[in-house]
Amino acid sequence: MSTLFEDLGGAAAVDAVVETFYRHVLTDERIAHFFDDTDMERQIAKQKAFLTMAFGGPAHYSGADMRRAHGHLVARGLNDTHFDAVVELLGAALKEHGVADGLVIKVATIAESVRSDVLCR
Amino acid sequence: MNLPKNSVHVAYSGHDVEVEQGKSLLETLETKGFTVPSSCRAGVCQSCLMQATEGAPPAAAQKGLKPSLQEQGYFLACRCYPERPFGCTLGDDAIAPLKTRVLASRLLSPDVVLVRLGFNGEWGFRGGQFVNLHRPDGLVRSYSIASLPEDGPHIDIHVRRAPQGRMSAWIHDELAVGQEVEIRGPHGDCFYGADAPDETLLLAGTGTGIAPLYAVLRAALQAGHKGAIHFFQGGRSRDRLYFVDELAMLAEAHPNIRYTQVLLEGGANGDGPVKNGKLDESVLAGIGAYKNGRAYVCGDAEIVHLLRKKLFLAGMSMRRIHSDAFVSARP
Repeated sequence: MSTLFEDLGGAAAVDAVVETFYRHVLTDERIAHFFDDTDMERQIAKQKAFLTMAFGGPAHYSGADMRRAHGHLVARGLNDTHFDAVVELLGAALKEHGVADGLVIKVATIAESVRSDVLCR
Repeated sequence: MNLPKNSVHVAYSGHDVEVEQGKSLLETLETKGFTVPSSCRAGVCQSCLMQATEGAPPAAAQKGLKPSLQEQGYFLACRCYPERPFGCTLGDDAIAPLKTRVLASRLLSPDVVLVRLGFNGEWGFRGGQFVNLHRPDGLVRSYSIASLPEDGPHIDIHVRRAPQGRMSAWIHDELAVGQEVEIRGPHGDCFYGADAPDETLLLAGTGTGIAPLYAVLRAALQAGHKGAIHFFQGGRSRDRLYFVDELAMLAEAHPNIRYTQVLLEGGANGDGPVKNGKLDESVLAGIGAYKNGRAYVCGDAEIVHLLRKKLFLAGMSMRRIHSDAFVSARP
């Protein structure tokens, strides 16, 4: 039985989807302002890490890591609506790459699981 | 001393480290008490990026890095399970200083000087990369290499006199031919790669961003690049541009080069190789021609970041956008 990560296409899938996803994020008025464009290469690397995790792949972030990474954004007003937007855009990117609805839902569920940590609750 | 069976020797920033089979370089260094930045520990976030200084890292540890970084021996420590001994360092740590001597210095325009720094022996670099110039009192500034290794054992840098610029004033007013200067590097991934001679190239820059772009352009021509090369030089006004004759001459000699000047404060008349307006707008207006190619963007930090973002949003992959944003140091 294959894993979700394998079903999605593994690291190659992350590579294919991340730039589509990042383009959505940079152009979405709800959340674009949280993304610093002065170090886009680093940003994309972080997005790849996030996608790898959301795809059920190997990315060993602890809850504490998530909190540390997003604390300054929460201080700037990061909240549920922004998190919702990110999950929505992730789903859109996956659909654009032909990923079946069933798998999109699985990815969204994993992404959901980090909501409290990201929002430092 | 009994070495664990199946371990590989790695020289990390001058320290001898034995990496046991099955353990990553990152884990091993941490066990030994080294502080190494890390985050995802899965080869994705690049926090643990290191560079090989001797020998080569295992290919698996380079997966996911831009080809230009792979070529320079960069790798990720968390993915590094060495099979053969090699040496490496984190960032700039063990980059040895290179002693150079000023061979020549001449003004390219009232406020831009070309300085030629000669060195002895072998020193590898690619045109378009940059070096850190260390003044004897410790002041350090970065300058791009405007020349190619084929030109001889020297590098050319273009230095604009910056308002209140300590280093540029020193270079313009005091640095003399024959004087020794220490540099470190090379760094950066703004260099030509000869693996796609038919691809369209976009070279866009402002100010002395022209220096690395000129090197990339010459490298492409020397390699016999066949694809179209769109060269954009942006500036406030015509008299703020420099090196114009050199660029025009190359464009004249090579039909695949299209050279366009973009003047912020206007002054261009009609539809020719001089346009009015903002560099990013002019470049994006022609995106159809180079969207599937490769871009090099150098110069003013704000413009470079904006242009890079716009090219990415227009559909170019970040892997095919090489940028060098010149950030002014605080006076």
